[in-house]
Amino acid sequence: MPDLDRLLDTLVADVTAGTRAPGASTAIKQARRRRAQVAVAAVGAVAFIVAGGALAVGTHRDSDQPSPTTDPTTASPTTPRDSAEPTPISLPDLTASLHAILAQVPAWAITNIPPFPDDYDYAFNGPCSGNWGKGATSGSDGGVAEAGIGHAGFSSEAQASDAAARFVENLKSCTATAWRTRPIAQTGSVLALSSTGVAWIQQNGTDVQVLQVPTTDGPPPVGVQVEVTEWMVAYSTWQEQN
Amino acid sequence: MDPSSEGDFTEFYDATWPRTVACAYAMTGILSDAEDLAQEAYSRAWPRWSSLREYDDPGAWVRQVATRLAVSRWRRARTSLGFLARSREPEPAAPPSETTAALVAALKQLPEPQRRAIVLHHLGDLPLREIARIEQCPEGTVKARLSRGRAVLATLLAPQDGEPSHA
Repeated sequence: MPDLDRLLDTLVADVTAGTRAPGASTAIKQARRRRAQVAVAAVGAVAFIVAGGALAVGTHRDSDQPSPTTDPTTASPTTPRDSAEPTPISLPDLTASLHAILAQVPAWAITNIPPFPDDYDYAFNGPCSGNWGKGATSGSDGGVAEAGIGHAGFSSEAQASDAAARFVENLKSCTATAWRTRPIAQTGSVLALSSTGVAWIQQNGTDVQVLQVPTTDGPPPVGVQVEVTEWMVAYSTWQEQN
Repeated sequence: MDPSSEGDFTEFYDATWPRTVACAYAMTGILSDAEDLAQEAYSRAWPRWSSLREYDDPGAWVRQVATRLAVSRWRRARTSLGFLARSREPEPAAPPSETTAALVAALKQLPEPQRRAIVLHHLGDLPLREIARIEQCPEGTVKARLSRGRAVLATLLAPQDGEPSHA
């Protein structure tokens, strides 16, 4: 029988030989940057979602299927499962982070309310031909900072991948809103563009997420696009934890 | 926090970094991901350092956070820590030894709770009681997971006919 302790000692020795520590000062800077983002957002963050003309503040819903955006309900548990360890990610932190990413982009701005035309093909629950979310075992939609965000959960990554592809394909069939799609560099995610909004479409494991903001400025800079995809992963993690 | 705190924290960071990375690496099997997770865990430790420094083993707290982050990361199979990744050029790391590669491969075959128990106990040096608290289960369950995990590892790492043992 193998000596597990010896194997693990070898693992630690290998890691010690091969790892390169960024340094404590970098960790401290990361911590301070996170705190600064929260402070900035505390001043200006406004959480809302506009979906079919309805305004919801900090809404979040889970259901068996992706649900109509015009019927949001409020249910946002935020209690960490393990209270002894401070929650790794919190909704206020997430809200602040997203606001910090989207609020001050040069030459690009989020449109004020009302953001979308009445006949807008909202890129989550609508699109547009076929049922892109068929087979989903869970779903939710809600608002965080200036964005609307929805997700559909599937029982396997393959199903989620198929659904994401179906979603992107189905966007082409929308008629009230003309969507164009393009990949976001090195992320595996897709950016959908219309004349009145931008949507991020992303698969995270068994989830497909769609984050949408109203803007008439087209796509934000690539760096912002990538930052949003990273934020979506963090949001997905938070959803799982809560 | 006062400057001496930064000094203490730096000392703590340097002393505990390898084992924290090792814990995350045992969970993910990817060294660069493990480093990102460890760094994230330390960035979460810093705001709490004034209390963490009073712990008997503040490294255990960091290893636990890194391991938990690894679970989320592993489930997602995606990175959400782009800031660090973008701030430095990736450098090719030396490949792990055959022994470590085999161990990591075997760990990946364990059910997640068993793997977590083995990593937290054997690499993270967390006592059973603490793991039970983290996992919100009885100590007996942790013991059982460790026992089963070790048994599976023993099978997976046992020398095959004609092959040398990794142990």
